Amino acid sequence: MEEKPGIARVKIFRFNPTADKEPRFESYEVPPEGWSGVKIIDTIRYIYENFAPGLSFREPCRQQLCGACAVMVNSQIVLSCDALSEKEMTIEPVPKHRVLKDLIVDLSEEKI
Amino acid sequence: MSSENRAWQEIKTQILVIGSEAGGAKAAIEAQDEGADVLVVTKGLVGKSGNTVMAGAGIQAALGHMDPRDNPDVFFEDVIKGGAYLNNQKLVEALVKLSVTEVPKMETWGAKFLKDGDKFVQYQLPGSSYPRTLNPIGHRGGLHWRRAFKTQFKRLNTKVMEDVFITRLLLSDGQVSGAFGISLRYGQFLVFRAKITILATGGCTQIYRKTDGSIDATGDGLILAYDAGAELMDMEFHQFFPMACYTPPFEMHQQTGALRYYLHAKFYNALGEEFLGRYLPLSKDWGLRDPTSRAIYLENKHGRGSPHGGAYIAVNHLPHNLLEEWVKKHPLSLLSRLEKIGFDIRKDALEVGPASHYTMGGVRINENCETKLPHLYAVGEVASGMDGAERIDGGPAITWCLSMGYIAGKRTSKTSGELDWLPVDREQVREEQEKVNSLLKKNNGVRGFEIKDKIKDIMWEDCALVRDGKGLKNALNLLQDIRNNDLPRICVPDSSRIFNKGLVEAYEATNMLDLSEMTVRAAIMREETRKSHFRTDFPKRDNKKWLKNIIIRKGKGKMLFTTTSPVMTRLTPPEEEEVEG
Repeated sequence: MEEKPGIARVKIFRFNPTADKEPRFESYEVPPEGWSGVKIIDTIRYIYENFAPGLSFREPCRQQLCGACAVMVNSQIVLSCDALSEKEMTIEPVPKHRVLKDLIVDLSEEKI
Repeated sequence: MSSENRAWQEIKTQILVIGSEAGGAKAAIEAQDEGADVLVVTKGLVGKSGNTVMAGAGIQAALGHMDPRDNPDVFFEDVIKGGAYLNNQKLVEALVKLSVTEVPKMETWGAKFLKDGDKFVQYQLPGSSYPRTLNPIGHRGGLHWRRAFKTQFKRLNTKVMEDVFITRLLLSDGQVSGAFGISLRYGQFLVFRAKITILATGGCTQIYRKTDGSIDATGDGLILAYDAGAELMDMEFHQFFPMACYTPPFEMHQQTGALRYYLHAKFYNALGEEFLGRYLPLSKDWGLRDPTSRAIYLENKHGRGSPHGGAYIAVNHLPHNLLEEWVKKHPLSLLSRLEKIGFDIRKDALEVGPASHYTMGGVRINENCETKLPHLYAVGEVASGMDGAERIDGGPAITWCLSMGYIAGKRTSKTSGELDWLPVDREQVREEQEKVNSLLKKNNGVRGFEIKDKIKDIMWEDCALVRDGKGLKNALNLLQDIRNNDLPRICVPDSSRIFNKGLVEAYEATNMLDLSEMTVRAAIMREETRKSHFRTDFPKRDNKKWLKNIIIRKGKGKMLFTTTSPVMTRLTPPEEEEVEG
């Protein structure tokens, strides 16, 4: 018999520099439809829709083309629209960039 | 930089460009090259938002490098016939001429194309009379366009503000004086004062359940223009791409196009039949996008579809060594990704199917890219008139962006010099600020994404590839239910102004509801079949009654629909037309 996928435990980095003193991790228990056989971006969206409506993340193209949805998952940098979700995940912003909010970092081309 | 006595930051620019990708970037670059002061704002990141970066295997230009018989006149004819004579011919004339200079210019800006000596290799795709499609290396045009614009932004030191969501155009005595927006990055309200505003915000492909386009394509710019009093046109026409990857799901759709266009892939149904001849006896596997999409859709209605509602494409009919040579010459990233999951295009078929791909309709413009509202221009997919009832295959979308961007950029750099900044109507600013603030306080109710989800299903079921009066009325009723029951309860659960996805989605959902209703109402009005608009209850093209564009503008509390004759300069439909599909 195939093992049932069960509940995934997903920890996500949360930080709003304009309101929070320090970053924190929040944990979410995600049922199979939110993680099993889907991309990490789908799990992040599942958490946003069901548990964390204030979660900030990028997801413009979902086709491994634009690169905006990069995050660090279990210490590896991945495109969240590319890699599949796992049962234990710690999702953080990509390192070496200033965090603007939660999983969004400053990848700015901005010039004013 | 925020002023103490005001709740918003005021930013002045000669030309404000809303949207940073192909159309907007090109307009900004051309205007700056003439010395204009330009500011580009985008709701995402430059080069990492919108549809340009996702553009695929081709871009059209009437260069005649592979066949000297091709020229702007032939290109013009193909576009008008493809659009079933609803195009604005003055606009198309300007665009095809500019294709000859503005597409090759992309090479000097850093894009790389397949070449044969100093000639561009050009392929003939469905709908083109001669080889016309240039092939960006690797079939990932978007990466080349992004690089090209980036080099120019750098050269010109272009001013860009990212993560700026524009929620309203500002008017002064009926003239556009700028725009109101919110900086998602910093949380402030922004008032842009501009002598000229150029919309380059793309289409609204997100109104459909299945789409291969960017999640950004929610038609915001269409509603900005409509709400301000501009006209929209041809909203019943939406294009569906027949080769979106259904398995693996929604990945690199444009690259499946490469298999079709450059390897003549064959389509099969679940019974292994090459079924397209049933619907398209002449063109078969080489049909245009919409009829091919419709054929796949209908095969599924007859129970002969693939597991996820699509069909199969395969290239395994080709000799092994030919495929090897092709793969060597065209290192598609799709192929290496497929190999990783044990999929071999030499043997296996991909499951593909239709997905909403492009919005033919949009803001009504003239051949100078001017809208009806003074000082408001529109370029690229947000505009209408270049495509008529159907955008032709083969990659004219980026060509249109370049041509329109050129026209708008050059023109506004001159006209804006003669203008002064119009005063800001503080009442409008206050209203819009209050709208955002009250949304941020409404934490319970229906969320934007829930409304979007409902809209997408309604539109996919009853107003996509195959339409009839009954289904369209059903769609209209369901959309009305959303308007009456859900929209008043729309909420934003989180009250932060920083990167508040719920806030953006609340606006987007409202925009998508308006655009869906326009699409359905225009589709009900148009009692005929014309290209992408396919009515089973009116299966014939009716040039007597419907050689017309449907124009939509905002009335008091309702949408107003009128018709007008298309701008025709030199090509009229023949008495008897051969129409396939």
